[in-house]
Amino acid sequence: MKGIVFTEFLEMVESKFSPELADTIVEGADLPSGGAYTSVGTYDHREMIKLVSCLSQETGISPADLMRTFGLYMFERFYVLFPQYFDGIDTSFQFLERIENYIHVEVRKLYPEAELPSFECDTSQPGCLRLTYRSTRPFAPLAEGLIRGCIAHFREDAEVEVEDRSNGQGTAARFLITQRGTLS
Amino acid sequence: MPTILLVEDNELNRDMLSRRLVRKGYDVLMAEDGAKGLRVATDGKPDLILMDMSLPVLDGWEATRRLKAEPQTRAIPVIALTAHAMSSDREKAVAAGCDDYDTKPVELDRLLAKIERLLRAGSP
Amino acid sequence: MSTIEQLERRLERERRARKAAERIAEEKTREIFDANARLQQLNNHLEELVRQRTAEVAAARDEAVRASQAKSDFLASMSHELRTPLNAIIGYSEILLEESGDLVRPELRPDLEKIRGAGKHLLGLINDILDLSKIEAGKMDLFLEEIDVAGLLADVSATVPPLMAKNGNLFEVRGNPDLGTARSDQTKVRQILLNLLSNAAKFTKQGRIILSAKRLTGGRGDYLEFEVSDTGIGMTPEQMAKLYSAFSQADASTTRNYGGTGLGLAITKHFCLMLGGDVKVQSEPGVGSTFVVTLPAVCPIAGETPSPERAEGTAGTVLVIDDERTTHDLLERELGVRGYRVVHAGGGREGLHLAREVRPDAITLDIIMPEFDGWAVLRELKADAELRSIPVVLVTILGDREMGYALGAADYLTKPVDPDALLGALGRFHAGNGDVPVLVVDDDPMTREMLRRILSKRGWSVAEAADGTAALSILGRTRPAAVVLDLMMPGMDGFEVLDTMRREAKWRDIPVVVVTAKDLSAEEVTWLNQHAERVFQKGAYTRSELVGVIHDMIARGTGTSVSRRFMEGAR
Repeated sequence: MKGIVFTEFLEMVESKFSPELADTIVEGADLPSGGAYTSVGTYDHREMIKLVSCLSQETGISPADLMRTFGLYMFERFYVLFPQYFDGIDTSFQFLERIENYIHVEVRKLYPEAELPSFECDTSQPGCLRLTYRSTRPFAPLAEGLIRGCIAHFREDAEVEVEDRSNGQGTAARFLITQRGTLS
Repeated sequence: MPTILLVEDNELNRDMLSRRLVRKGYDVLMAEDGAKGLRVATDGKPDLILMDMSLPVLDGWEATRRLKAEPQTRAIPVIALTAHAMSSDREKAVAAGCDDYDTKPVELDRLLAKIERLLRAGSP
Repeated sequence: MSTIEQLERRLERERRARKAAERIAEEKTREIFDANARLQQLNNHLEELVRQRTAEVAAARDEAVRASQAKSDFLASMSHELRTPLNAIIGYSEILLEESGDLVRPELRPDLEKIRGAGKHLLGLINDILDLSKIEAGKMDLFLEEIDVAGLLADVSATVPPLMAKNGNLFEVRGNPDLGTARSDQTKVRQILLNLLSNAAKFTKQGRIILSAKRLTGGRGDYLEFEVSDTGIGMTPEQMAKLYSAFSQADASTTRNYGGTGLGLAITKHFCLMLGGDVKVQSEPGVGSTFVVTLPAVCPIAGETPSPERAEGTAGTVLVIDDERTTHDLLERELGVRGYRVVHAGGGREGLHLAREVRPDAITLDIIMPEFDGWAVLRELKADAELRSIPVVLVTILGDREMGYALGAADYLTKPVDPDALLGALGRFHAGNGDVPVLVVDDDPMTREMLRRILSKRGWSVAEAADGTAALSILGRTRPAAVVLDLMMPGMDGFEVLDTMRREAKWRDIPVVVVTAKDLSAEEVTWLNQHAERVFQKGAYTRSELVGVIHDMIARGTGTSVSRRFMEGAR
């Protein structure tokens, strides 16, 4: 998993909770990397799971909820860090449709070994987007958070229905996003 | 009978044409190249010259030019015989001083008409 | 939980993260560098391929030009070869026919007629085939001139009565009084009309054939309309469709029954199109046919063959110093086409004089001229402060002028070497830094020592080799910034080194400064020439490649490349 996820996560913990809590979970998670993450590095995704798990213990919030919150946070950070992916995009559907064929393609150019989840889009029904998420890693809640973050970013009013397709493992899910109208 | 000088390098052509001219009553002198043609014209004083244009030693144009430059041979009418019907050849012939031209293969009647016309014009 | 400890731990994590980021950054940089190096290699390879292709294309073009010329020559000679014996056949049969009138054997006449007829038919066929070949080879030229149309009409009409009489046809000419003059190819117009008339006469029996001509004014000027109509057998639509295809007379029996070659109409059609017009037909079986030829009064197409394109602008001025006329012609043509202005000097003295006067962008020099010592000329060029920096391309054409040789050297200096001249020459190719060495190749240890001193004083690092073999061995290990090379060495001499370098793609672009003694004895000149020639025996360029190489060398700019061409056998 790319370092940027880790660095953003720790920064989120520091700002939303406290630097002490960040230090606590890093120390407590017993990480092979020692928690010294650089955004351009690559680290074992299990470290993230450990961090989330520690954070869950410390805060009493479920790991899934934590990941969802992180997803919401991360989306806005994406907008700040990678504005080029938002050029000419005015709706969440437009953005989500690009992930697989454009954003991930660009990522692979720089990081050919990156293991990225796949997002399959089905836009056969107007006003609806059916997104199928598949990954080798159990981060479906993170994906959900990102999706919600995306909708919020474009100030849309849409419903997100989540269907787990991996027997609770979190490696596959189907999201049905229905537009209710746009917020002003 | 009028004498015609035939300057032609191809043996068969020379033979054919000379025989037919003789049958029509002309005396025929012959030369196989331009230089000889000049000599025979100067010595033999023919009444008309049939000059093939592509000749060895001296080509027909140059030979004609020289004939027309010399006072002794200037008045002898020259008919150029060319293998091509190209107008450029015609112009070249006229430029060299030829009095008429005809194309090969020779059509005897046509050629005879030209010969007669020129001979008539020359005689008083 | 001590805040200081926390902060310390955090600081430590940050430090390690930073170091990791730095390592990753360096790795990426290296990857980019390697990728660039690979790309550069690919690019070089590509340039090599392009060079090869260009040479191939040039060779193919030369070949095509040769083939085209060969075709013309063939057509011309075939024409003559075929017609000559035929004329004899026709002529003699005519003579015999005439003479047979005198003999008491009139029954010979029909046989003689047959011979004559066959001969004429064959002649017509040959003429048509040759015409068609010429047309198809693109060798049929137009000869445009002023034509008196009425006169042409009268001319043609006078020729056809015998044709008409053969089948008992009536012939009528209708020409408007105001036909005026036209600018076109008279011979071809005549041939068109005669073809149509002879066809009409062939396919009509006891009928009527009319030739008419009109002058009309149209949108793009005046045009002439000739019409040949007959009351002959006519044609079906199917027959009309194949009309202008060579050899496809309406059907196979037609040739037998009506004669002709089947080619006349194809030629007629071609001629009409060449003159900017066309031919059309209307016909009804059993009723007759009408052919209409429309031609512009002024032929819109140029009569001349277009001249080859010349490159626009000048790429520079090249002074050619050579005592051979043919080299001058060759270079004038080949360099001229690429946009160079070529100035000619027949010998060394004239060359030096012109070089000073004209200040060309490059000089080609024949190093072997019997009257002049080419090496001496080269020496003087390089000794002259004002001419020194003009790149000199030493040129060799081998005997049959199909092959030549170019030895790549970037500059030429004489011993004892002037330090400024050497540094100047090297400076043109490289900024000079301590890391990349200059390779000095000379069999004389004192010369090597002296060159080393000159170069290292200026910050160059120096590698040395005492002969060609050692030089190549060093080249195999390190790529030098430049090579300073003595030509006269025992064992593998400087020419061989240059030759080997030029064959290796990776060495080809290394600039070489050639050094030899100032005053060469006759033996030394002979030595140089022999060794040079031996080298290019091994593999000369074809002429087209060579010219390409010369052009590249000149174009690569100031202070680059020297190519050598030696005359051999041409003397």
